[in-house]
Amino acid sequence: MIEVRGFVKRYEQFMAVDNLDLKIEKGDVFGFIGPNGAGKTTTIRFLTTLLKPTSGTAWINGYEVTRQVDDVKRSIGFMPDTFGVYDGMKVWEFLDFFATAYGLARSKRRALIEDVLSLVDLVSKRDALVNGLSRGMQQRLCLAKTLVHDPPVLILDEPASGLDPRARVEMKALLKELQKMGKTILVSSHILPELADFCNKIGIIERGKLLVAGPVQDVIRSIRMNRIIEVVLTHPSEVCEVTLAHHEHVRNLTAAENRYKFEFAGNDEDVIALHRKLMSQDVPLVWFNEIQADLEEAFMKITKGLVA
Amino acid sequence: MSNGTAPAAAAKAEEPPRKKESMRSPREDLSLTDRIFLAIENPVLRRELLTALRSHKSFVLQFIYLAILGAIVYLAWPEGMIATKSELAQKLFHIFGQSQLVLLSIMSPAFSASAMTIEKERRCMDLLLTSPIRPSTILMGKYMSSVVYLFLLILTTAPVIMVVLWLGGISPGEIAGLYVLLISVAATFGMIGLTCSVFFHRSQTSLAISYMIVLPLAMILFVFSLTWNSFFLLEAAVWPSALLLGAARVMYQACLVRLRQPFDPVFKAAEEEDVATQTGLVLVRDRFPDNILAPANANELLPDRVNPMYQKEIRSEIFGRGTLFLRLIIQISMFMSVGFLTFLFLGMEYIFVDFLVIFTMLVAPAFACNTFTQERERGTLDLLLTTLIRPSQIVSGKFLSCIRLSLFLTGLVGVTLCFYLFINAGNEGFVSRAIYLLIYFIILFMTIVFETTLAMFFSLMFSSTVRSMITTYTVVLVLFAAPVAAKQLLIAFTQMKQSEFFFALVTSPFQAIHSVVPKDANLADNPMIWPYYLGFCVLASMLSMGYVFSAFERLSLKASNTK
Repeated sequence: MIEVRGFVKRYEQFMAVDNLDLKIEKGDVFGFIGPNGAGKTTTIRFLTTLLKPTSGTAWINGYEVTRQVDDVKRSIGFMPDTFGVYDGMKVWEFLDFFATAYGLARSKRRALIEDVLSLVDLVSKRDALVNGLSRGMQQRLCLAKTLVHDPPVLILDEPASGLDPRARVEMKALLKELQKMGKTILVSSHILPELADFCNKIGIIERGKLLVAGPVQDVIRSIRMNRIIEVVLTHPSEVCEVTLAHHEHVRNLTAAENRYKFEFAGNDEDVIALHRKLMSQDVPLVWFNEIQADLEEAFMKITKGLVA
Repeated sequence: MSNGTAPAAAAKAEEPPRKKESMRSPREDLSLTDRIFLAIENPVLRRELLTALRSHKSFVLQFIYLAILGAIVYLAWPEGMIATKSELAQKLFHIFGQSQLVLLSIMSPAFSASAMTIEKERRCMDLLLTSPIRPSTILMGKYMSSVVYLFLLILTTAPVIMVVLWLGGISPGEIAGLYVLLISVAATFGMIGLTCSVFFHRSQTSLAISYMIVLPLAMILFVFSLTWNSFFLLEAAVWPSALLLGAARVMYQACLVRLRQPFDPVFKAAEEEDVATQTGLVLVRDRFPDNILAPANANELLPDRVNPMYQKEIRSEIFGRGTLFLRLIIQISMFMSVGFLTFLFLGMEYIFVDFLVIFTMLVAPAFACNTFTQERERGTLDLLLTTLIRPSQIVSGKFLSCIRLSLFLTGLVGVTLCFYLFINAGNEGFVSRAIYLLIYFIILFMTIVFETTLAMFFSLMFSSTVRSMITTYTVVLVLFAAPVAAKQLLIAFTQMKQSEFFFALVTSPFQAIHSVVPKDANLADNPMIWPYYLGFCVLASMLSMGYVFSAFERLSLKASNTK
């Protein structure tokens, strides 16, 4: 659905994006993450036809971004990181204007506007002035604007930035709803735990280079190398401690009373074997669990905190 | 009795002890000298002057200001024995004073009209108001930083006027009178700009309204200086100066009252709307003639196959500036037109048309100078550029809506010009008058088109509306008024004839208007200027629009390339 090949953007001596390749399949929700100034917005502006690349190209919904501009615009719904609203315009007028801008027939527009308003939960604000809406409502209105022509691809640049916790939760629910509707979504965000919630793929970019991309758990695992396992007993056990301390795959064991935490370098079979061994030794096991990989931890590990 | 007082006494005993020291202002401990230094060391003024002096623009502007005045003196300088030229010196002195009046009236609003609005637009107003700086300090700091530069400009012209003193015939009282008047004018015009910036939310509105108030006032002073020879004498100049400074004082007080009220950092159109409703300054969209200005706000969807940009502009954008702004323009211009109507009835219709041109000079750039800058400033440009609206639709939609608005407002004021057909028809026939009237309307129409395209051009060139607006006003003023001023100067002080600088005059609509009716040899000494002026307007408008159309697609790239 979205494919980027060899995208380079250079501003004189400054390399904003360096030879970026990316592939997002239909129905994917792709989280695009990176520190400030990493090149996320530059890539997004390129994909939305707002930026001419130094070299490279991209296809969205089968249309080439640099050549089939109108077809690309029809295929995408774009929500920029910072945007404004028109003064003196009502909510429905705002959506009507953008629906007309996408060439939608008047006969279809009224129903469409009602649909998107109800999707973003702004029906009650239909006749309110857009500049009088709260930040969260304006974000939702902008999302409604991106949906008004029913594009198969959504490109959302920091859709949750500046929102309060409730508005953020609502925005997350809305994006999940869109995911269910089969939209292909590219979303950039700084709020990593939330991205991990609804993205099936992620890409981490720093200093204009895509460091890693793929399914969320694969990316995290590839970064983490070892899995982390936690074992909890009803009471401290010397047998358990000795077994773990001498196991060939166990690293960095820490013990706190009846709780043991360690890195495990083995594969799935090795995990099963360790579990069986502990059970056979009559260790009073309450909990044997692999701690799920954390996107934030992976992000911190792979990026160096360098701003391009 | 004791039962009732005991709990009260207990409650009093539980109250935390008040810090009596904190009630005492830290200033009370300071000596008089320290207090004077504190008063002078206004942090707002200090910051403003610091940033202003870091910019090279202040020095460039000062150079231009002095260069213009120096050029006037140089051109008008008599040849031969200077001791016998006192009459000429008087004339030169008056032109010097009048030129400064004109320059100050152009520059004062530019310096002060965005002083407070810029703080509101940058959302820095909260930081200022929540700091211990008092509103009066903020206001005085902003005011002084705006006018101190104007005072500096005025004072640096002293050496130029000293040169004129050599010619004789000018008393020290006249020089003192001139400087008292100029400083009062700068102080008052600066305060008008500052007042507008305190009461309005946007720099663009504040700037336009300031010019709407300042320019008529400057014209009145200018007319006084033309008709009254001793206008610059100290005895005469103190009266208008006192009047102006009194008005400035009242405005200062009003600003202070406004600043002490709670400030809502978020702009709400409703707030201005409330003020408008209270003062009766409301546009009613479904009533004549307001519905010519903008269509009724119907609950109908936009029709198919229309330019959505044009529809958006006329339905909501013009009201986004606030109806108070529109109404103020209409009412101020109506008020001004009453005075100028006298000329129409005196058979000097060209003076009334001059006024209409001045009106278009104020209105057309005010509406068109933000066409692109506003989209960038509020972050809606990206939303537009990712839709299927063509760049040509965006440009033409904005152009047509601006033209419609300016034509409506000018038409509202200028409709009385039609009386010209019937008043004092005398020897001239109805047909010839109708032809003259048509030419006047064409001149006005083309002037609006030219001003609009020029404003759109600068709106594309600059990233800020205020900069685009000031540049448009300056260029329009230079093209329209400078040729007339230069002509008057050259004819009065040199032996040159008008035919020698004919082509330098074709950029001025005033010159074109005065050449329409060849009834008076003095008025129409260049009967063929108006077709040339129209040609200039067409050419300049085509060039501006050509650039705007071709460059608009690059605009997005330009915006994106600015990292």
